[in-house]
Amino acid sequence: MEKQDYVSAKTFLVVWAILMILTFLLVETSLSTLPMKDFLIVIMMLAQAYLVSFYFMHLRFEKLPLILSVVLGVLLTVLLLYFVIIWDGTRIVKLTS
Amino acid sequence: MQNVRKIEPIEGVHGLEEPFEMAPSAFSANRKTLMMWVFIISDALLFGSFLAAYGFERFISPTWPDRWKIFEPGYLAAMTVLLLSSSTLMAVAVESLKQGLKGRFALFYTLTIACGIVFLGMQAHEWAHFIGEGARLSSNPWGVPLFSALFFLITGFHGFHVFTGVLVLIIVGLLSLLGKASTDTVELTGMYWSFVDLVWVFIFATIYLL
Repeated sequence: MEKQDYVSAKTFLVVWAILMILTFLLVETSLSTLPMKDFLIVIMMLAQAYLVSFYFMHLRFEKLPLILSVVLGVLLTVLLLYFVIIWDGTRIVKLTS
Repeated sequence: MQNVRKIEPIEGVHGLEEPFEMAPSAFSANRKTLMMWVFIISDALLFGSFLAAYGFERFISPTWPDRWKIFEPGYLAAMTVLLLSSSTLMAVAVESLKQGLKGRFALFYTLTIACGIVFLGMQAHEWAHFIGEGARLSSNPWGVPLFSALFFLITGFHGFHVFTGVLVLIIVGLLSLLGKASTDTVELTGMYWSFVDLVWVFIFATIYLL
């Protein structure tokens, strides 16, 4: 482990506070009837995921190739899975019904 | 540069007459950390496919139950707050151990385990409430049978990850009390615990909020 990966407790306190505010806003958005509700929820979810993975899982201190493998690997695979399943799945459902 | 391996010369072996240095890994991470990331990516893909399946069922189903008529928003927000606080406490505990502050480490580490156990209790209570409302693996009173099936599958898998996480935390805690766990081990445990929290962020938004 390298020397510079010490993080002060103050940084964690700030990250925790942002996470708490985001949780509150997420629940409030979900209960509201805002027009862009789903989009806002996804954006806030990704913001929370960024904070947890980059600060708590120390992804911030890793080298760029590792960050890209983890973030793009997981994100692109899940997006591909989701859209291929939805696109092909709805087609099959329409064929059989 | 870290992770530079020096190769010593070997007598009589062609090509190894002089010492040379291996190029550092492109990831430049410690071997254990890299393997932990491989495990975390594979686990993330497991949950990713569960959530994609949930999204698909949701997309093709003409109706979907209103979650806020079944669950209590405040209760779920409390569960999220608890798990997020737990991984913050774990991160502070790991930093304290790196700086050699043993007392602070023990305090934050114990609080982390306590938060995890309370979260498990709250999840068990939520399941009991959900089953009490009439939800079963193959049927539920809200019209879409797959809703409760996927709910039990995904939150059950996550709950078991939390349970495993608590067990690992207790074991590593006892080992470090005996002086048999290195800082690296505690840090990797912290990575797993934060990952469990990361998965909950996605489950919370996908199953309950969207």
